[in-house]
Amino acid sequence: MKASERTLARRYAAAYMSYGTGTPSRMVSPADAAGESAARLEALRRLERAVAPALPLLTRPLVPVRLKLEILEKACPGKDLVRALALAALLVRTGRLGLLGETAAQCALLADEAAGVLRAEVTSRYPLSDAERAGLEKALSAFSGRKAVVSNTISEKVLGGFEAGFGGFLLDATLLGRLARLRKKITT
Amino acid sequence: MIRPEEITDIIKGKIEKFVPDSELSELGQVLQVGDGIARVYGLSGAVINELVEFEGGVAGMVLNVERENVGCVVMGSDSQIREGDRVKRTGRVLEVPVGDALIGRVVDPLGNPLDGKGPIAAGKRRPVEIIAPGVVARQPVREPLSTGIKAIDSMVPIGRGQRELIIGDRQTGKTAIAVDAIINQRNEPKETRPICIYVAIGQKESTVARVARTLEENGAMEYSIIVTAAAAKPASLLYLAPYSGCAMGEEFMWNGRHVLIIYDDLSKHAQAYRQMSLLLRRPPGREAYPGDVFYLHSRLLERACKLSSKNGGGSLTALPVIETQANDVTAYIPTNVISITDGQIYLESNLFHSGIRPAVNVGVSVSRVGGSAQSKGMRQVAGRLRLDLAQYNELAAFAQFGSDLDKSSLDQLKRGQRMVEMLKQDQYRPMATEEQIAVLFAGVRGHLDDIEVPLVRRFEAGLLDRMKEKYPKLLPDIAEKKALDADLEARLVTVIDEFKKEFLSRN
Repeated sequence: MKASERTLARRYAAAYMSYGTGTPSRMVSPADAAGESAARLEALRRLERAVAPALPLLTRPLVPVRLKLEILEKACPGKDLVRALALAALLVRTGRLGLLGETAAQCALLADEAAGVLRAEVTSRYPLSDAERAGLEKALSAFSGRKAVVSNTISEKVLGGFEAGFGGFLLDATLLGRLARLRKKITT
Repeated sequence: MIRPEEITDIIKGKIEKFVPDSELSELGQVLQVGDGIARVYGLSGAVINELVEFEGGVAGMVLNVERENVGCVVMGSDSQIREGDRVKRTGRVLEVPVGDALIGRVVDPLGNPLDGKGPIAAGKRRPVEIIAPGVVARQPVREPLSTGIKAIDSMVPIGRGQRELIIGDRQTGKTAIAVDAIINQRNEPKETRPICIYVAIGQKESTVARVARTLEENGAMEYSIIVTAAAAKPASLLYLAPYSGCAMGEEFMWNGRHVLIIYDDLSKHAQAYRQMSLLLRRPPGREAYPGDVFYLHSRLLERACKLSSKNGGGSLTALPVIETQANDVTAYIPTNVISITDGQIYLESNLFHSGIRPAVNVGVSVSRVGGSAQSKGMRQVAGRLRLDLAQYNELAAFAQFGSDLDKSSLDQLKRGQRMVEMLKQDQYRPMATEEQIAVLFAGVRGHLDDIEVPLVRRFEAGLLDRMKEKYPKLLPDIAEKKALDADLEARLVTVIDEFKKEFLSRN
């Protein structure tokens, strides 16, 4: 996906998850905000599942927009999907329904933020033990003030140790990173 | 000569001192990259001018902070950077190595050596961008900075801490003046000799190599630094070069020393900044330059100053160079820089082609510091020179129509012709102040009036040789006293008369 499309998906997600002009965000309690965000994300995911079989048709340029909107409404009945349907209709009208998946992923990030959850992707040479995972989650929670949830990926590239990417930060405790820092220290 | 065992010991020491801990850094992702500009998503805490690091070790600098991304210029080749690459904040602004270790070296704007003489062991680094010293930290410019060029030191004198613009068309001798000014500093005593920094912006590599060789041959590299961002380098390095050079000079200035810095040339600097700004999608203004192109040069040139005694009394004298097109000084960038500097030396191509070199148009050239930056002796001989030459130029135009002139006009014409001839000077032959005073004395007091114009320069050279051979104390006395008293004037007249008699009999 192009960077410009990813940026657009973020904008759509921000608009979908925002409270609009009627309700300033400071008047919404954190618990309500988290609940509302989770509900909207769930609605979007349900819509995504519902339109998945018709997606090739809905993204075909030769199909008239009017017809696409009709298909969308029939695929997603239910009052609880009104907001998600409005987003999907907007994407259909602008010819960007292909961004639906990325928009949903961005909505998930915003929902995590609203719920006070920090998702960390840990890349390590070997699988993390339960104790290591728990320790890492505790440390990240203390650092960020949010509840940390760690997902683990195995990669030989790091040589040893681990690196944790979370909330725009990278904690580099890999052997590869240490060797790079040593090299920089020696050569400068 | 470094021995292999020493290198091994140094590396072992560094490994022993290395603490293998983890590193936490703020990370972004490259959204798009091209033409030396990278847009990065994330890095919400990045500040303007902060250094960032791309994967592969390429450095970048943050120039645009926008809502959804950060615009960075890449300090190097962007061909290794891909979309999706990780970008780390370093948490520090761009800094360059400074100190005595740089003297005699040729470096790039990041302080990396380019002369093949090995790494630079600079103990200190300074930020490239800082705010210029305030009013209270300064004192007025009073000490002269001699360029060794008669036309400039007599009529457009430069002081230590001044900004004097050198402006003219291509191939009019702008760089030659700058290089002569550097070479002439070898005549200064070591304690007060300025460190010279030549910043080459967008020049050909062959030109920079020639300048380096010329300085080396004339013994000037002992007190000089060359900072070069050649034409083939990315615009980001051209943009940085003058600020890096200025940072290197400020280290000496704040330690009580004097510095002469030459920015050759700021026209190319403005063009590089325009290129970067257009690629960063900043709105273009007049001539497609961004709106802050004035600030680009004003914040650079304001860093040149004479510090107060309380701050060490050091100085940074700046000689920015601007290239005009078809002698047009009313264009955008030239007018900007003229309004910033404390005067300009205007070089004209028609003067150059008519054999007057240096091709200084003394009518338009000015130094706003003026006589405050001249020794008393020079003021005594050069006081009326500009006025006399202006009157001569008017008369010369009048005389072209072949009208009959009275005797005083003819005398003035004669005098002017000889003064113009005397102000000519060969390249790489800067003259010490006392020599200039002696020669100008001969000219303004009419001792050259009976010398044929084509022989004036030969007379001048012979006169100086005679002074050095037969009257070796005369020039040192002028240098010591810095003014011409009755005794020195009498001695000068004696030498001149004696040599002239001999010269006329031979010619």
